[in-house]
Amino acid sequence: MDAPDASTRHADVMAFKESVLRHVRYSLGKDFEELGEREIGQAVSLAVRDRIIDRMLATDRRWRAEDRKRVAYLSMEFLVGRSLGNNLINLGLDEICRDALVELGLDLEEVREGELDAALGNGGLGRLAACFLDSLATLDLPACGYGINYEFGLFRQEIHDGWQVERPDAWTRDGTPWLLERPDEAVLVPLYGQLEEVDGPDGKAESIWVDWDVLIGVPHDMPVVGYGGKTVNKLRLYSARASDDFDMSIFNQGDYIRAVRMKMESETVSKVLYPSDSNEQGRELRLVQEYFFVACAIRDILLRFGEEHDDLALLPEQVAIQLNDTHPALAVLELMRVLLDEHGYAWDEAWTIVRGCIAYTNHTLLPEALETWPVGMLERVLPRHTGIVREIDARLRDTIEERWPGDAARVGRMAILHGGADGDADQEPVVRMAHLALVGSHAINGVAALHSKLLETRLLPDFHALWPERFQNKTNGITPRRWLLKANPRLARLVDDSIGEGWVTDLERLAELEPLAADACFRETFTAIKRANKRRLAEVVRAETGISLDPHSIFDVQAKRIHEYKRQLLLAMSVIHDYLSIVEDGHVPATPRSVIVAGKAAPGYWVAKQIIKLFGALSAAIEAEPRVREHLRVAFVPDYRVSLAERLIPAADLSEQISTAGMEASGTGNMKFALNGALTIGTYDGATIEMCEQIGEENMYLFGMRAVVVVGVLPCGADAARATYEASPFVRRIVDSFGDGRWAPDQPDRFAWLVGHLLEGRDRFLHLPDLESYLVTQDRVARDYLDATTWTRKAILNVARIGRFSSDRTIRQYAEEIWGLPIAQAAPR
Amino acid sequence: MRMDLARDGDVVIVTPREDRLDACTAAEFKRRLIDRIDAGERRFVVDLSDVSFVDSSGLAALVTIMKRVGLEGDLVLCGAADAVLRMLATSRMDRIFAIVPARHEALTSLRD
Repeated sequence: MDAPDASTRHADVMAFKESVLRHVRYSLGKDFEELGEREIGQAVSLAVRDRIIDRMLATDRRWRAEDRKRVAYLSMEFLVGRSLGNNLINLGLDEICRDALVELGLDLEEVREGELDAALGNGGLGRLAACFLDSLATLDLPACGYGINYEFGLFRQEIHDGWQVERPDAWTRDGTPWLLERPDEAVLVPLYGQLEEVDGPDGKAESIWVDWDVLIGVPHDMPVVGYGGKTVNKLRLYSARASDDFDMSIFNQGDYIRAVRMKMESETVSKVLYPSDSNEQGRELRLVQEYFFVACAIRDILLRFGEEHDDLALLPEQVAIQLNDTHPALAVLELMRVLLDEHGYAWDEAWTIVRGCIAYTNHTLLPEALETWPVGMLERVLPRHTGIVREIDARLRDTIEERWPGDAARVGRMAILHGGADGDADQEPVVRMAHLALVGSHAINGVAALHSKLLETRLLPDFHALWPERFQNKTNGITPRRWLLKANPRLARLVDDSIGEGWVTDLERLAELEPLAADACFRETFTAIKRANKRRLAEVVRAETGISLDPHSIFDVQAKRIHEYKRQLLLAMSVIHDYLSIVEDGHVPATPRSVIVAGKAAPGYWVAKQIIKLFGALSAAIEAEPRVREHLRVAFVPDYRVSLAERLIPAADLSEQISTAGMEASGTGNMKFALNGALTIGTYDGATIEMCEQIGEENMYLFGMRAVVVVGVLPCGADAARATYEASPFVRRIVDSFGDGRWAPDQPDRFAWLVGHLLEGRDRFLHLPDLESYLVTQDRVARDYLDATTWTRKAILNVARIGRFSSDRTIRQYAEEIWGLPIAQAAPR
Repeated sequence: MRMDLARDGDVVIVTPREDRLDACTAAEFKRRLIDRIDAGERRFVVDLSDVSFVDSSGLAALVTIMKRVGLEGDLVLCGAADAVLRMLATSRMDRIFAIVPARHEALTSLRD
């Protein structure tokens, strides 16, 4: 962005300062001197918001005038994190704000640190949605995100005696300046009730939907500022309200308590974000949540379309609806219902419109994570929609029969409605949401090349045979504004000084850094920045855990949701290996190592919570063992969230991406770490494979079985695990340590379950068959780290070659290949 | 519940004078119309001009009244605001009711 002259800049600083003071007095109703930390943050944010709103209104006017096709990005989760710092950067106001706050005796860093994260997501899927919104606005594309305004975001994680304890995350407790409530745009959402046959005026029986309840969806708009500040789109999050303040009929009968309870029950719909990986089957509230936000979004999309157009047949030319996983797949049914029932379209015409608009992104290959809903529950909550899904299913079955006559097995594999009389007679009939989403979409995509290939060959091969043209790949990306410019300002400045600022909107220009990997002076500065980031993280870790990390040690970081397939247990076993090598073999590692782990376990996920406890136990054992702790430290940093990621990632030397091959759809943490100069130790999984193609295997540490081998080993996983255990004394010692009580002196059998788990075929994630390869590779890392010049050269090449993994590139591909949305020439590059 | 009842020939014109036809008002609305049906009236215009919100109780009352009027009688809705029309469509009840924009059109349709 162009630098203003000194007098203009001074005027801007003074104007910003006045704006803050005005909000202190007239928005918060206080004197500046009596402000608390949160209120200072609010006043500053409100001053920033003023500048955003002007641009948001201008953007909205521009979209209406240009009448361009618009993207509706439907996602149950948007893991936004903090907004103040990112908005300032994207508006180009960070220096002005910083100076204005200095005038007021305040520090921008401290003000930013006081903001609560908007944790409206579990992990990668939600953060991807937030990165995509940033790129959509930066690329000047008309787009709106649609989701739920959860009153409580993902739980706040505390660690008590090594165990995870969940606390509610009331992220808007003190109000948030970033949400603009729009009660005038509230929409009605009917649900429950039943269908009833009634004779119409001509005597013909019609099926009507009676006895439904109604929720009110109140939109709250969160501005999404594109880099440069030209485009400000919206993230529209809906809160559920009861249809009236009270159900007056109950209230009038004198039952005040019941009236209030029913109102509260209605409003629970937007109360809480469901943690992932818990058993969502049977959770009717989750189904209601999914329908609630989808119904609100479809109503909003059609209202907006209706302002400019009156022929719904044109909807696919004007609106692209992207489903972020199957959670919004009810959009297929809701849009069909609206077209059929409210607009009188015939089935085929309505279906053409629906499929023309909708596209679906798959995020998982894990069978247990594929969403299904019992037909009985769907019928209770959405009786009319159930009729529609039955019709879609019947037509799909006809299509399959036409293509593969008499192939009942294939029909069973592909049908949307599965189980009951049609499939396993003992199984409750369910709706397979991935099949519904796919059938109702013109495109389905995976999120990394391997994942997309496995979708075609393993998860949905029959559908690929039927409609190969619908299958695409869109490898995920990350926004460089949040994950380098904001998270790592020192490195960003070095890059600016070296190659200019163009990389911010054209990340592939980082390639211009490549020659500087051979420049000793550049390497020295790069190393100094990493060291400074490590010192800053060490302060955070000390404050959070009491553990002191040596910034000269290698910072080995695994930060992501705790899940067996992500294999935090593999890292724990590597720590045990190092510990036992020091204590029992007298073998000192080549370089001191600080293992830093962060991540949340779903509250009902027992194994994941045990793994957190294990890291705590290892940490305690190391702190108590002087021979070990000068070579090895372990810290589990509580409450992993976007703002903590912004501290962890810039400080990492080594990025752990060690999922069982074929199980991580893409990963985006892998990209964030590499962008910040960490080397990856990882498996051939997800987007790590494509990163390797760009960065070069010689600049990464890849190990373990590939996906194709994993498939072969899985059926005999116990044998493979046992063979590794028998063959390797190191592996045997690690596994046996779980049984001998070493890591839990207070309860020696605490981790004994792991012995059976790893050896007796219950480990579907094949920890032991990959363990030796992992230990050897970790040893190589430790030795290589001693050669600082080579290590830093590789780290610089990681940064220089990661440009392809910008979410700007991903969004360009969605726009051009799925949404049919031309990107304006003026869009920044 | 406030409601006007008027007559145009053999047609009874019913005008709820309430903002909401919902669980609070629907029962009385239904009872008063059924009283008229029981008294032998068979042709009705329901003018919804004052109603801005109708819930499933209100719609259920209209369905009950229509069933009681029967095939030999007539029930025409008019004056429904967009929000009310949308709820009628959402419930698919626009398929079983005769709905016209204005009262005079309702009366004309019954004369025809």
